[in-house]
Amino acid sequence: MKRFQMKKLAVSTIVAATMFAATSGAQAAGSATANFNVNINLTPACGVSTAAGSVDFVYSGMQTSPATATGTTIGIKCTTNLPYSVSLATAPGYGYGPITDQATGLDYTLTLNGTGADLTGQTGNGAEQVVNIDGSMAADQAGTCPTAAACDNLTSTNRQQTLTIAY
Amino acid sequence: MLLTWAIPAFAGMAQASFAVNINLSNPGGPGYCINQTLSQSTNAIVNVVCSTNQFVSIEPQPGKPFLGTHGGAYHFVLAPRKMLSPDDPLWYIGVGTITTMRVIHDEGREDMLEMLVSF
Repeated sequence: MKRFQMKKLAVSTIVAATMFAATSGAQAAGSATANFNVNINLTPACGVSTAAGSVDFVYSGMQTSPATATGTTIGIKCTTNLPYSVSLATAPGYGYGPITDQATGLDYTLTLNGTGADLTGQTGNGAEQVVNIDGSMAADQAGTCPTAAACDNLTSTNRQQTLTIAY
Repeated sequence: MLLTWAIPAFAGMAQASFAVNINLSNPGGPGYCINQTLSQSTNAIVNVVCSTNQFVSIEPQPGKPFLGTHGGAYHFVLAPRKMLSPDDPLWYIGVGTITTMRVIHDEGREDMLEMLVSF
């Protein structure tokens, strides 16, 4: 009886293997391969990955000490090893001086990473690189308001400033 | 002639804008006045706004006449409604602040018309 059961099991195994071979087709007569290239032409570039917020000044007319703005940051992402510069001027190295706000008549200066208007010698690394935008305002400025009340520069024609990334 | 702006050659540029917000409190500062209107033309009216309880004195800078871009007021000693004739003697009559003077009946005169303004 036991011998009969073993024979039955062997037959079942053969049948199952035959069926697997028939359905999988793994027993090919031969194979051939072909290689091909994936060509990539990368134009290195820089872009703004995180937009800048705003630079905010609070100033009291004729104040005796300079004002420091609440600065902001901007995220820049460049292709790895791509040299780039950041500037508050038209282009790096171009003139940039104090800005007179059109509405309030107050002069202020912006700097990048606390160094100046230009940030040169930067190199992309493929990840976001953060640049700080800071501002300062000299003391002893009277300013201009439409009335004797406090005012802001929301309607100023030069409230928007531009930062240029050259690469 | 082609006008060119010699921006250095870069492979590319990207730009981003941001706002610079200014909140000016106490404009002009304590003890100061601000001008609401300002004109460069003669006879312009300039409104000066001051905070309350301020004594305001408008005067020329030390050693300088009150002249220049805003015209200025000239204080002449002339007769009210008096129109001077070249034949009139030099008069010191009346007091007023004027900026113009009209001369009449100067037909046929060949010599110079002189006017002395003292201030």
